Order: sequence, then structure tokens, then C-alpha cells
Amino acid sequence: MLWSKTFVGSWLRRRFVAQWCSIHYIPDRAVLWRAIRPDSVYKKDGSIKPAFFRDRRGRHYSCDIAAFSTREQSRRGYADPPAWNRDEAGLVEFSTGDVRNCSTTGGPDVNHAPVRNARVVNYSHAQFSRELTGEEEEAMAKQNARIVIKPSL
Amino acid sequence: MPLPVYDRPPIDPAAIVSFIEAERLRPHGELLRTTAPSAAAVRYQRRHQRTNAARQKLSLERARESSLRAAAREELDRYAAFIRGWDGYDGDPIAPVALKVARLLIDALPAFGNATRLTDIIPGPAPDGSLDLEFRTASRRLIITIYGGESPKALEIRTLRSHGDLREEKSDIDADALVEDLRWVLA
Repeated sequence: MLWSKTFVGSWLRRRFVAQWCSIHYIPDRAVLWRAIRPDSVYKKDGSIKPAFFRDRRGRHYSCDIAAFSTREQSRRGYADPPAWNRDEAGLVEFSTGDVRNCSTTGGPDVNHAPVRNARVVNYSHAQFSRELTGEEEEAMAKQNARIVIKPSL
Repeated sequence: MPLPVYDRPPIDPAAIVSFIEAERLRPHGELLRTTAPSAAAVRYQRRHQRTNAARQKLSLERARESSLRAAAREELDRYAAFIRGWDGYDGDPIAPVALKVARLLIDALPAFGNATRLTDIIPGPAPDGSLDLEFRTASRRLIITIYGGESPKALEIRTLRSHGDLREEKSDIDADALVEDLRWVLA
């Protein structure tokens, strides 16, 4: 019910945000968003560079759950003040299922990880459960993710 | 009495001598009538080989390759200005040592093979502060991932070779393996 596009779903989501509840399972159909800079796309064809999906610091890759965010908010980022030029950012979309099935042996899981600190308040924040391998990065960039708002090159 | 037949104008030897003397005094003549330069003034030059298309093409390829390298260096310079959070989340700045290695590799490319085969050199920043350097030829693709740490010793390099459907991923490679990969992509 939490993920449905009905009035009840919307009301439930608002309650979850208000009470800062943690979501234990994100279904495969849940859409994820992440802002993209012009430096992360190939200039020739506008496709995504594999490095866009890399985060091997142990903190793992960040994204926003679309059901709890808006395109414009995710595109411009939640950090205040921003450390980048928000106007040139684009938006990339992929699903939780895309992440879980990005390789034949199975990709990482996606976990809800809301952030609330002095600079960032982002309930929709989620993270991959592990880092992607080089081939998984390629698969995500080439097959699974798509750009819904183009960054200004 | 029949008239004499001359195959050239009748020239009086005295007239020839006076002509030569006048030329010596005034080499270009009174009204610049002398057009033939003396033999000593003529220097023969080799003709330009304008029809040598191969040489011209090679020069164009070198110019294109040089332009690719310059564009890649320019992009790396932009990455150097990234601050924490550059990706809209908590992205680390690109490690200076990674940028330095990437620049070195781009500068040294011609030493590893025929760099004119390259069709593209594409750097790519990653949120974890690492850097991709992608080299493309008509049929091959090599992605070099450079991780930089606090010290130069923390440098780690990974490569991903693609040739058609064939892929080969290597982690934490040494300099010899890196050179081998660069030679492979430029072969």
C-alpha cells in the first residue's frame, strides 16, 4: 500500500516522512533517482559514464527513492548550501529491480537510509548494500539506467 | 645573284661584344629588358609533393590525436576544482594523485604505441574520488580506474578491457600490467 499511487498510498508516505519511519524493504518496482553532472555523461551520445555508479568508500552508492522525493528536488540535491551548480544538473532514473539484477550473479540490495543533519535533510535517501563491480557499473550505465532530465552540457 | 639564306638573324660580332659589355655594366638593362637571370643566380628547389596523401593523412591524425589529449587534459583540470559534495550527495573531491597519474598517462601515450589509432580519450569522475580514463579505438576499449589516497603509495589502478563481447577486468595492477594494457589498446 505504501508504494501505490492512490490517495491512501500518498497519505501513508506522508505519515512515514512525518514520523521518520525506516522502510525495511523496497520493492523491485520502486523507482530510484540520482542527480547527474555534465561531467558524468559522454559528450558524443549523452549516455552515462560507468564511473557515475562507483562508490567504493564503504559508505556505498547514494540515490533517492522517487516515491518520497520530487524530480526537481532530487535533481537539484538536498544539500544546503549546495556544493555544485544545481542549474546544470540532470536526473538519472533506474529501478530497485535494475540494481538487484544488474549482473547474472545478482547485484546489490537497496536499503533505505534517511539522512538528517545540519546540512542535509533527505528522507528519500537510499544506499546500495555493496559496491558494484566494473561490469555491474557498465551494465547499470548502459542498460538499466536512463536519463530523464538531461544535464546542460 | 641569289640572296643569302640565314637560319638566324645576322649578328655582327662587334655588336655582340658591345651587348655583353653593356650587360656587365647594367645587368638589368636600361628598361629592364633582360629577363633571363644568369646561371649562377638560379637555384633549383625540389618540388613540393602535394600529391602525397598518406603523409597529409598522418599529419591530420596526429593533429586529431593531439587535440583529443588536450581536451582530456582540459577536462581533468575541471575535476581538480571539485569540492566535497560535487555530485549532489557526499562525493569526495577527485584525488590529486589520481589526476596527476591521469595527466602523465595522457602525455606519455605516444610512447606506448600508435596513439593516432585512438578515436576518443574520455575521463570520468566517480563519487568516491576515483577517476576513470577511457581510451577508445575503432575496435578496442580500455578503462583505467585510478584510485588515489592520502599518499602516493595508496595509489591503486584497475583496468577493464573490452574487445567486442570479450571483457577482462583486472584489479590492483602494477606498472608493467598497465603498460601492457596500454600497448594492447594502441596495437
